[in-house]
Amino acid sequence: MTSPATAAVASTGTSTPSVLALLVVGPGASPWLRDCLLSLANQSYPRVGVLAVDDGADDASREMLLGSLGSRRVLTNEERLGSARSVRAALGRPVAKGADFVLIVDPRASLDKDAVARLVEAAVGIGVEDVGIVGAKIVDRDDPRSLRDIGRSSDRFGHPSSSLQAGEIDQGQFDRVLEVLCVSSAAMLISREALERSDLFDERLAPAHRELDFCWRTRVAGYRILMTPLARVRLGGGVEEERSGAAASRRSPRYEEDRAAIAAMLKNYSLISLLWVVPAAFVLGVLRFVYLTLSRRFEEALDIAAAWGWNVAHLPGTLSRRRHAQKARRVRDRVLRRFMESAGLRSPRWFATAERILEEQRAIEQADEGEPIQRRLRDRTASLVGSHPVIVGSFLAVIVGAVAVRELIGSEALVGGALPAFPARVGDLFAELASAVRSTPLGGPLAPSPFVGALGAASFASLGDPQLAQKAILLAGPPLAAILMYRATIRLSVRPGPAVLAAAAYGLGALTLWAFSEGRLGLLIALAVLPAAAERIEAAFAHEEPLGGRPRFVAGSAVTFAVGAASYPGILLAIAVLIALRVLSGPARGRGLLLTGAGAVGAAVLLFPFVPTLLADGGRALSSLVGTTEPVRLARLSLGPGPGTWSVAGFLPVAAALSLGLVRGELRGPAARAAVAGGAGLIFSWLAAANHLPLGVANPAAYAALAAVSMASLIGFGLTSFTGSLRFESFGLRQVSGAALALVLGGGLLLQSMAAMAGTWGVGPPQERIPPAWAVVSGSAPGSFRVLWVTGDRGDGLPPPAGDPQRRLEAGDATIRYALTDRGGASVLDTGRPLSGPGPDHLERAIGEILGGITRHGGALLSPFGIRFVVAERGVLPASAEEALDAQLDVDLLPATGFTIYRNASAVPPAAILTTGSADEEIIGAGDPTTIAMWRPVPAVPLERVSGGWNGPALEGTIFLSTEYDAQAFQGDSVRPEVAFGWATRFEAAGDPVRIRHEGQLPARIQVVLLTLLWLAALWATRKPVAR
Amino acid sequence: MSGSRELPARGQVAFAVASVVILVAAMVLLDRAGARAPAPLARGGEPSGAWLCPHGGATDLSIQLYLANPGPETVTARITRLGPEPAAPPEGYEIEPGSTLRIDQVPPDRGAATYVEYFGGWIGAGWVSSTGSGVAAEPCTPDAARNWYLADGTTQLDEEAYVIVANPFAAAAVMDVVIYTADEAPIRDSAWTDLIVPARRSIPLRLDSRIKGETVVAVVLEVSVGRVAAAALGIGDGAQVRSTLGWTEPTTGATFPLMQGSGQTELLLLSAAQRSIRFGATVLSEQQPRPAGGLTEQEHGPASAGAYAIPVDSGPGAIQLFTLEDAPVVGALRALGPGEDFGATAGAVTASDSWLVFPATSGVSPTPGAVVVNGGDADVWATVELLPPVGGTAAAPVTVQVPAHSAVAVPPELWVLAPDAALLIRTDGGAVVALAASTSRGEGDTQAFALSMGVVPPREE
Repeated sequence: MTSPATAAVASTGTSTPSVLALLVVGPGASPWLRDCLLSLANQSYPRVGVLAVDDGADDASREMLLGSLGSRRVLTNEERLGSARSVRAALGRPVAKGADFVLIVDPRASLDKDAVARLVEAAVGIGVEDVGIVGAKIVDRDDPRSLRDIGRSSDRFGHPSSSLQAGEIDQGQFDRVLEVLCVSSAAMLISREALERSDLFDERLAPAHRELDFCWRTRVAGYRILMTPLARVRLGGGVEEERSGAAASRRSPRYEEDRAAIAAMLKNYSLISLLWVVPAAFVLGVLRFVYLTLSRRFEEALDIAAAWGWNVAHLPGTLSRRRHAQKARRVRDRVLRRFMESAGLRSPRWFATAERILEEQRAIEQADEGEPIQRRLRDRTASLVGSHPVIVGSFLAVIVGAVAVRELIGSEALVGGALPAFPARVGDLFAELASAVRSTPLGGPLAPSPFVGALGAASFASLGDPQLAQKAILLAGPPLAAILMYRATIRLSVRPGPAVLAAAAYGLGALTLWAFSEGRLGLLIALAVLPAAAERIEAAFAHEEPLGGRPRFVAGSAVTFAVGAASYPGILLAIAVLIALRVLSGPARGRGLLLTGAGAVGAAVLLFPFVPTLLADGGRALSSLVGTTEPVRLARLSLGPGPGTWSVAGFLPVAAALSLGLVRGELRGPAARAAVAGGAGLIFSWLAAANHLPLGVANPAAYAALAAVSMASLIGFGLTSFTGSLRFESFGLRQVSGAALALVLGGGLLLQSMAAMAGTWGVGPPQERIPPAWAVVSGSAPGSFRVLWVTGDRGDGLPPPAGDPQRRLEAGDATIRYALTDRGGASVLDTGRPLSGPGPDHLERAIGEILGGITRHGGALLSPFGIRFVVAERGVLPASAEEALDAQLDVDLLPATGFTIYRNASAVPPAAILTTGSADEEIIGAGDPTTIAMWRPVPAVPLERVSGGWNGPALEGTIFLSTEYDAQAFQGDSVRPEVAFGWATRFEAAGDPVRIRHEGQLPARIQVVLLTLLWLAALWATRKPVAR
Repeated sequence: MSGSRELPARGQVAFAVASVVILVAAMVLLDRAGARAPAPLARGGEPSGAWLCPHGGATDLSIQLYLANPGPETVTARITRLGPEPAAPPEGYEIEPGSTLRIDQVPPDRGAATYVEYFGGWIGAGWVSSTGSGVAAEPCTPDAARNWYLADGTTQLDEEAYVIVANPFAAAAVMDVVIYTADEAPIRDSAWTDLIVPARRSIPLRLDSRIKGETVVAVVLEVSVGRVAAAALGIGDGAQVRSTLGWTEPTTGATFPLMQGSGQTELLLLSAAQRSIRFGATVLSEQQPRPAGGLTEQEHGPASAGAYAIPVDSGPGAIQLFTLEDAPVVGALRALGPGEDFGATAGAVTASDSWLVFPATSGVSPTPGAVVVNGGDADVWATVELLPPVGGTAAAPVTVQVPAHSAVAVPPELWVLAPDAALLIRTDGGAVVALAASTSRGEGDTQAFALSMGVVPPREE
C-alpha cells in the first residue's frame, strides 16, 4: 500500500506537497484572527495556501480576512452553515481540490512558524506509512506551558478520553510523535486521499466531538493518525465554545458527549461489534441515569435519555453515514482497540485523588528516609487519615460493611427481626397505592404511605424484583445514615475528620445497628433523614438566610420532612422537638418558624392522601410500642437485641459528654442545643416506653433517634474544637479529656465494627431467622388466614415474621401488646399505617373479652377477623393473659418449641363463601360479643383475591369479607353489602359466580397521579444544579 | 494560655458536667417513678362458658343431665353429645332464670360424655347416671386440663372400672395413662402411651382390662397435646354405679362431705410423689370434730394409691383431709349407701360462700339430701333456695345455721318438694362446702345411693 501522503505528492508532480489551510471564521473570532492569519503567513513551509470561509464573521473579522487574503480567497456563506458544512463546501471548490493536504485551522489558533512544515514532515517524512491525519501539540495561547491537547483516545463507547490532566504543564513529557485515535481540529492536517475516503465532519455533532468521530472513521478507513509535538499551536479562547445548534443552550456537555458517542459508535463500529457495544452502552447509560436520578441531578439524567432519544430520532441519517464509513473500512475494530480506554465508567477524579495520595505518601517516605519502620508507618498513616479522612473512612466502612453483610447478599429473600414482607410482584405495591381499600388486615379506607410507591419504583428499578429492592434498601440504610450525618455535620461547620468520626459513631451506634439488625426499613430511612432535618432546622433559625434562597430551602425541607414521615411517621416527633428547642433558643425565631412551618405544610402537601392516616386514631401512626425503660440500655440507645447493642455501645453517650466539654467558640451554641436535644430525646424515649405519654406522641425509637443525632453531632463539634485548638494550648484537663475522648471513640468504633462484622443480625436467610415453631403455623393450613401475635407489656417486640406490636390493650396484669397480620407476617404495605378503624376497635374489644375472663369462646370472637392462630413467644405473656387464653374452649394449644400457638377452632377465612343456616346468619348479622360467641365453624370456600377485589365460585350462602364495611367501597354483582359482626362486610350469595370489587378506585388513582406530579415538582425544585 | 481563654474552657466543662448530672438525675428519678401501671380491664360483655360432663354411658346406664340457671337472665345452652363417633350437631336449649332443666338421655357408648356450652349468662351443670339398681352423680367440670388425677377405682372381682375421657375440642389430644395401685410400681402401658383422643370425641379407658384384683386403682392422665376432661366410673356386678370427677392438680387438703351412708366409708388417696407422705383426717359432724379413723399422722407410700377406712355415721358429716409438710395428694371418698350401692365424690378443695347443688337421685321414692359443711371458726348462716324445674314453682328459701367446725343437713322437706330441682346455697358469715347425698329406691327394691358435690357459681360483682 502506498502512503496517501506520498501518493499526494506524486499527483502534484513535485516533492513538496501543497497544503491548503482552511479557516472557517464565525462570529466572535476577531480577537484571535489576526494572530492566526499572521502565523499562517509566516509559515516556513513553502507551499501553503490559505482559504477562508466567512461563516457569519463579524465585520472586523471580515475586514481582516479580506485585507489579508483578498476576496478570491475568502468564501462567504449566504447564511451561517456552521464549521462542518462550511468545510465541506469549501473543499468542493476547485482551488481546494488541487491541494495535497488540507490543514483545518481554528481561527483562534496561532501556529508556530514551522508548524505546517512539521505536520507535513510527520505525514510524509518520518517513514510512517498510511498517515491520514496529523495533529499538533496544542497549548494555551496565553500560557504556552499549559497543554490543551496532545491527541486523544476514547473509551469503547465513544466518549473522548485524554491522558492530560486539567492545566497540566508541558515539561516535554509528550514530546514524541504519538499515534493516537484523534487529534484536535485546532490544526489538523488531512491528506487528500483520507479526506476523500473518510467523508468529512458530521455536522450534526458538536465540534469537540465531531473531530473524534471523523478521526475514528479515518482510522476505520485504514489511515494512521499522528500527533507531532514538533508542531506547536497556541489556542486562544475557552476549551470549546461552539455548540451544535439550538440544543446547545439547553443541554449539558454530558448531553453533547453522549449524543456524539452513541452516534460515533453506530457509525464506526462493525455490525458484530455493535451487537455487544450498544447493549453494554445502554446498560451503562441506565446505570448512570439511575445514579444521577438518585443524586437529584435530574437534568443530567434527562440529558442521557435525550442523547439516546436524539440518536433514535436521527437513526436514518446516522445509518446513511454509517454506510459510507463501513464502505471505506479497511481495518477491523480490534485493530483500533489499542487506541481506546478499556473502562466503561470513567472516574478521573478518583484517579487524580489516588495519584495525589500516592505523591503525598512518596514525599513522606522520602522525608522519613532512614527512620524506623514504626515511625514511617505512623507518619504515613497520620498523613493519610489527616489529609483524606473521608477516603479513609469510606475505605474502612466498605471493608466493615462488606464483612458485616456477607450473609445477607445471597439470592435468598431476607426475613427475621421486624423486617416487613414485600409482595411478590411490583404491581402489588402500586396497586395498594392506587386502591381505595386497604388490602392488609381488616381493610378500611386508610391510605398507604407514599413510601409504598417509592418502594414500587425501587422494585421496578431492581429488575422488577421487590425482594432485591428490600435487600438493597436494608443494606443501604446504615451507610446512608452515616453519609447524611457526615453531610449534616459538615454543613454545621464541623471539619471533615471529626465529621467522619461523628458519622461513624452514628452509623455504628446501637440504634442504627439495632434498626438494621431488625430490618426496620422505615426507621433506617428516618435515621438517614433526621440528621438532614436537624441541619435544616438549624439553618432555618440561624442568623444568616439559608443558602439557595427561601423557596428552595422550603422545598428542600418539605421533601426532607415528607420522606421521613412517609417512611417512619414517628420521626415527626423528633423534628417537632428540634423545632421547639430552636423556638426557645432562637435567634431567628420568626424566620425559623416560618420556614419550618412552610416546610411542614409542604410535606403535608407531598403526603396529602396519607395525612388522614397520620392523624387517624389520635395519631397512632406516629407511635411505637417498642422501647426500653431500663435507663442503662436507653442511655446507650439499645432499644432491642442485635449486634452492637451491648455495653460497648455506651461509647456514644460517653464520647458525646466528653465532646460537650471540649467545644469552643462558635460551636458552643449548636453544641448546647444538641446536648439539650439529646437529653430530651432520652427522657422522652423513656417516658414513651413507660406509657407516660399520650398515644400520638409516644414513640421511644423516634426520640432515641433524636438523641443519637444529637450525640453524634456533639462528637463532631467537640472534635472540631479540640483538633482546631490543640496546638495552641498548654497541657491540661482539655488534653486529658481529648485523650479520653480518643480512647472512648476509638475503642468504641473498633469494638462496634467488630460486633457488626460478626454479622449475627436478626435478619437473614429464612431457614436461620424464622423460628422453627413458625412452621406449625405456616405449614398447618392452606389458604389465607390471619395471625394474632401477642406479647407482654414489657420486653422486646414480637417474634418474626410478626413485625412490631401494633396496639396495646391495657388489662391490668394481663396487659398485652399485639399485632394482626396475614399469614406472611408484617407487610411493607403497612409502612407508617396504623391498625386503626372500626375493625381493629372491635378486635380490641374481643381480646378484652378474652383477657377479662368473661367469655370462654374467644375463638368465636376472633373468627370475624379471620384469625386462625394466636401466637406468642414462650414465656413472654403475662400469666393471667396466658391463663385467659388457656381457658378458651375453642382455641387449641398446639405443640411447638419456643412458641405458644393457639389454633382457633372457629376460624373462618378472611374472605369466603360460607354455607350458613338461619342461626348462623343471625350471628353474622349481630354485633354483640354474646351472640358472636355462639359462632361455630361452617363450611367455607375461600374467595380468590384479585386486583381490586375478590372472585369466587357460584355457591349459595353468605359471602363474608373480614374487611371493614363501607357501603360505598364495595360493589357486588347485584347485591349491596351488609354489615357483618358489627363491622365487617357480607353479601348474600345467590348461586352466581362471585365478583366483588372496590369502588372509588378512580379517585384513588387520580390521587396517585397528583401525588406523583407533586413529588416530581418538589424534586425538580430541589435538584442539584448542572454545570453548563 | 491567657486567663481569658481558660475561664470559658472551665465554664464549658462545668456545663458539660452539669448536663450529664442533670440527665442522670432525671433518669434515676424516672426509673424510681417507674412505668405507668396499666388500667384494669373494664369488666364487660355477657359471659359464656362450658361444662364438660364425662359421665359415661351404654345401654345399662341412663343419664340425666341437669342445667341450673341461678341468674336473672335466660341463658342459651348448646349441648353436644360426645362418643367414639363424630358428634352430631348440637342441640340448643333455653334455661329460664332461677330454674333447672333436666335432659334425659341414654347414650349408647360406655365412653359417652356431654359438652354443655352456655351463652348470655351463667349456668351450672351436673349429671346423674343410673343403672336401675344404682345411682351415681357428680357435677360437670368447667375446665379441661392437661393433667387429671383420679383416685377412685377398683378392679376387684366383678367390678368394672373406667375412666371416661372427653375431648370436646377441635384438635386431637395425646396423653399418657399412668396407673397407681397400693403395692405395685406405677404402670405405664404401651397401649396407653401417646394415646390419642380424637377431636370432638370421648373414650372409655377400662382399667380392669389392664390390672385386676386391686382394691384401689388410681389413674393419672398426662396430656401432652390438647386438653381433656375425665371422671372415674365404677360399675359393680349388682349394677351398682358410682362416679367421681377427677382432680386437675394435687393439693394439701380437701373436704369430703357425706350423709345417708351406711357408715362404711373409705378415703382414697393417691400420691404420685416419689417419697412417702404423711397425712391426717378429721371428721366434722353435728358433734365436735374428731380424728377420722385414727388418721392423724398416717404415712402413705410413695407413688401409690391407698384406701383408708373411716367409720362415720349416717348423719351429716364431712371428712377433712390434710397433709403434713405441704405434701401434695389427690383424694376421693367412697361410701357405701344404705343398700349395696356405693356413692363417691371427689370432694372440694376450697370452700365458698355460694354453691349450686344438683340432684343426685333417680328412680322412685327419692330421698334427696344435702349437707353443708363449715370448716371455719365462725358460725355461718346458709340460705337455701330451690331452683325448680321448668314450669315448677319455687318454694320459699330456708335458712340454716351451720356452726363452726360442723356439718348440718339442709332441711329434707325442702328438697323433697322438687327432687329434680337444683339447690342454690348462699351463706352469710363464712365459706362452706355443700354436697348432695341422696338415696333412691331402685329396681327390686334396692337402695341406690349417690354423692354429688356442688359447683361454685361465679361471684357477683
